[in-house]
Amino acid sequence: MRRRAILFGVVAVAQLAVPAWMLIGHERVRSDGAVFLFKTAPVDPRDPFRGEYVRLNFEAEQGAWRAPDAGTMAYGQRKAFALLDTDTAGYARITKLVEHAPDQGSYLPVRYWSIGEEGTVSTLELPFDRYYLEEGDGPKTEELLAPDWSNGTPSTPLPAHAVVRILEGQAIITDLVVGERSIHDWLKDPPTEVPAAATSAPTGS
Amino acid sequence: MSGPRITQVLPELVREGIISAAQAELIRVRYGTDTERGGGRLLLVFAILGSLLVGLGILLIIAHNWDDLSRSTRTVLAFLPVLLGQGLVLYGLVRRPDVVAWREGSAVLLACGLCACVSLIAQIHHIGGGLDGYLLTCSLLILPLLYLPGSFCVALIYLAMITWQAWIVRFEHFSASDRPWWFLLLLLAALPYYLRQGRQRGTSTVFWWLSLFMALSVGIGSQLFYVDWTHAHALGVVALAGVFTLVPWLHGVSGSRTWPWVLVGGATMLITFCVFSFRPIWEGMDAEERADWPLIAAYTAVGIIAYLLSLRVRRPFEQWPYPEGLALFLISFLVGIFSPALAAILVNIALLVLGVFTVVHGTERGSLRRMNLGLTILSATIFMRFFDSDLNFVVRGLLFIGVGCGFLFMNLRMVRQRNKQDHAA
Repeated sequence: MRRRAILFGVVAVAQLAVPAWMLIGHERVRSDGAVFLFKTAPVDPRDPFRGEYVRLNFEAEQGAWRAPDAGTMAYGQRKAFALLDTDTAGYARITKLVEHAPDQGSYLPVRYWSIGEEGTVSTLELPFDRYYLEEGDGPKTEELLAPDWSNGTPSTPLPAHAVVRILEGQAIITDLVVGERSIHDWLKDPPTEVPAAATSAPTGS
Repeated sequence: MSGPRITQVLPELVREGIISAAQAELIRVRYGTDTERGGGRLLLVFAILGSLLVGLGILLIIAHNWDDLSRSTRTVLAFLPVLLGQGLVLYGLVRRPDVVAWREGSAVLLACGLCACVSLIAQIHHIGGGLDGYLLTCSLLILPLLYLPGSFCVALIYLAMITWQAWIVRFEHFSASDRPWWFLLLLLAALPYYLRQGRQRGTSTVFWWLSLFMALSVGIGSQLFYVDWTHAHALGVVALAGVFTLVPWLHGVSGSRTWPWVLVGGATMLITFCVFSFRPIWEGMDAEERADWPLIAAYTAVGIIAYLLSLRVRRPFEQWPYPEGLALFLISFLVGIFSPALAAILVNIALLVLGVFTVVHGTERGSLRRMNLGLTILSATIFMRFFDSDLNFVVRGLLFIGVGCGFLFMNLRMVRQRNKQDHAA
């Protein structure tokens, strides 16, 4: 019985170590990672175990990059590393896709499925895609970011971006910013009506 | 009214000097069930149900995602259910090693706590990834609980989780080209536990449930490695279904409750036969996609080898006719390449053969259930032909009456036979 108890002790430590390792790794990225802003448009789904979140579609996922494995045309899941930079407005952009992780600079592992005839990738998938919110806040966020049709003509929704910390290929979303305010501030202090003329709102910082 | 269990009257028998204390202990060991030693079946059920409800409650509360709580508070909260579960499992292992209720209840609570912990960490750091990744992490974390403390409830949860994960990888990924390779490893990891349970508690209800989950897991999982689905894939399905129906003959442990394998295999085989009894199915036969043929050939080879091995301990059509279904389907499939109409007729004949043999086995063994299953196969085969034949209403009506009379006659006959045997006894 003693042997079983000791064995279980080892199992218990391993069970605690896995989530703890996940936690420590992400905490490190959160504190030491470089900050990038990714333009996004959230929609609201749910996970049966992990609760409510907004799914984020990033503008940076669309573009034209030369595929590291250009020449192999077969359809299927491929992996590469995306080198990151910022544009003149301060938003993150992918400059190049490479086969191996670089020694310097910020990068992310990405996935893509098809290569165009010219050997280019036009759509890829970033390794982060969701932002968890308290139950009931998902639809509110989506509503906040949807175009307003109340006066007959659609208004442009507030610009949104995710604040992402990146370190050695690992990424953590630390905030979702909508029209210069954190989504949590919007949800604590909701607008009486969704701002209709938000087209000129400055984007991100 | 049932009398007291033998183990309940033992103290009285010892007190009256009818048996010695040593003899009473021997009888208790022989007739006392595992659950009885552990404090009763009812206690076990409530322990499992209670732990499951508490565990699921924790998961739901965590799914609410408390934004008002700080990150550090939520981090501490993430580990609390795990530590609580681990404490209870350890207490059960050290202080209550023989109490099944403790073992099962604490293990279920720990399994739910681990799932909740991973959920909360994902929430705190907005970790992306699909449900399959989450299920994979949780499966790996709860896997040790199958062996320490050795919980059958966690084993059922584990088998359900790995099958769900495999399903998501195969069907819900964007590319749909992924294969659930992890499923194979995770299933192999659970196999020693299943085999040990078969040796130690093969005759228990617990093992019946384990067999059911194992059969469903292996059955579903084995079909998730194809590139596409064509007619040829039905061969692989029928071959493995045939193997399933042979499991009670192949494992060599008498009295072991492996009946769920036959149940899953037989049902799969009958459904496949019913689908292929329609002529249009054969007419659309497509043999263009050949990427899966090695896998289909492997499954068919396994089916044939298992059947040949079973011939050492089983005569053809003995007990149930489903193992022979593979040969019948194989013949129909080969004929179907040249003549779809003839293949459909052969499958119908095969269904009738399966039905007749099931009725015969049912009547021979006095099993109403099995006889009625055979009659259902026969009548379903007849009724299915209504859809692809132009029979008029009078003929259809007469067929219904005929089948109904057949059911009544056979059931009455068996009930009378049983009554006669009871009177004779």
